[in-house]
Amino acid sequence: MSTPSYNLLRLHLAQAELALDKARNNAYSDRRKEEYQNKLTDLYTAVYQEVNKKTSLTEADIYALYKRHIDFIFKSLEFLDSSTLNQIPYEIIECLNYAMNDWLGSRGDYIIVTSLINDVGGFSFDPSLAYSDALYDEIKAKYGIEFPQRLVQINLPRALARDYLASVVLYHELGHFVDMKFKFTESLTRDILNNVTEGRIAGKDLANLLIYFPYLNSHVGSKKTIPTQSQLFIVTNSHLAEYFCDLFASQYIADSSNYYLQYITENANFFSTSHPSTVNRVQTVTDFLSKSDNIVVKIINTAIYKIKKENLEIRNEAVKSDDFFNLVPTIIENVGQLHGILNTGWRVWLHQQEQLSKSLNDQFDNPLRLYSVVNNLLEKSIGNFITLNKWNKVKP
Amino acid sequence: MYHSHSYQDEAFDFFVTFLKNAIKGDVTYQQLVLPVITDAHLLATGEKDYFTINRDSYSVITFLVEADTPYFRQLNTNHLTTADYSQILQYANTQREAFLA
Repeated sequence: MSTPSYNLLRLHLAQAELALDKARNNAYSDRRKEEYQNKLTDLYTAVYQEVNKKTSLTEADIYALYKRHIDFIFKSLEFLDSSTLNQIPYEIIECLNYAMNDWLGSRGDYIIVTSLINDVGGFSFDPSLAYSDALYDEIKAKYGIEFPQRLVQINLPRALARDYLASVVLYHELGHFVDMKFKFTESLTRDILNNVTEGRIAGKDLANLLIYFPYLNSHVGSKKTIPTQSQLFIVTNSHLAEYFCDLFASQYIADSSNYYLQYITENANFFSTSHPSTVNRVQTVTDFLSKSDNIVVKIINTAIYKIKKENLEIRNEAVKSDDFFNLVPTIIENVGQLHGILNTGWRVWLHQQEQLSKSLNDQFDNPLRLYSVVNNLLEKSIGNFITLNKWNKVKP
Repeated sequence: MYHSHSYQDEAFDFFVTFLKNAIKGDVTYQQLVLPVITDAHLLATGEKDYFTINRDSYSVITFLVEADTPYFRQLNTNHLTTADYSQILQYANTQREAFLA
């Protein structure tokens, strides 16, 4: 058999073998990544053997049966390669792991890997290897190889990889991943649009809803079904997802990301097709944190409860900033404080720079020095907690 | 920053590929598509709703039911035929067009 498509498949296999060979030198801090990489080698061997057994393969067979599995090996290696020991901002990843475990279970089904990118605004999650179980189910059924974990990649700006103030936005990005897994906001979008077009929401509730989704005004009582693929559905879903992620993040980091959001969006009071207005986003978080009545919080909580029997709740504990001014790491006593200390760092930066400056005996004229001190104290405080926690788990 | 990507197309790609293999009689793939088709049937009959259908295949299930609710309502998921897989493939193949419509 020597068709062009078959020879391209052989090229793909050769490239994968070389990539796996190179990855053998990777050193990971997490044993699960090594195990995952070994599974990739098993998968490569299984695909290679099956392809070799075939006496004929059409182009369609190659695409439908094998190419995607080799693509998966490459994508996984891409994630693993950039997440080796010397590149990981370990402390923030551990914070996110705790938050992820609250929602996706503590069995370690998901491994956070990181990629440092050359874009100062480039905080994002790449869930492409964790969006759906379809491929994993296929690999298990076809080759008998089971991947017990899914890789979730966090992209971090290289320049801000150790910036614990800016990194709080990763909680928002984690929210997108959690929402993607449970489809909280996608389910809710259908519900809201049906209620609006069928006139099932009225009075004060409708007026409140239209504050946060003003473009729905012209659809009230229209009796038209809004298709899932329509622009209106997509925009509404996107806005709901942003509200959800802001709320999700604020469970852990309180109002920390509001400041950053207001700054980078210049506190926009208009919505875009992908994002609600910053003013509405900040108001929603403020209402949630102050336990004030808010229609967006209410409907999102209803959807979460229907799907997961849970609610949004404050999952952080306030940490005093005294240690910052003594220039020593704070002793974090529990996971709530682990998240809470990031908000403490923000409060020091926003309101107590002068006090910190006095502790350093400088003249409040060196923002880089203050920035380094705040980041170092946050990193050491978090790092100490993680080390102690691990020690307490293994000590006799 | 503050953006996430849509991976719905990829979920559809998998489903379409699985269906094509199911049509060829591959039992492994017939078993892989069965839970999705079953939930589409249950959503169409009202036995499940948008909050209770399978989360992993959510986009595919909701799209299929929107494409032809009566079809999925009457579908016998205990005995799916090649004709059923082919019909469902036709619906799934319209996803990109529907998105761009």
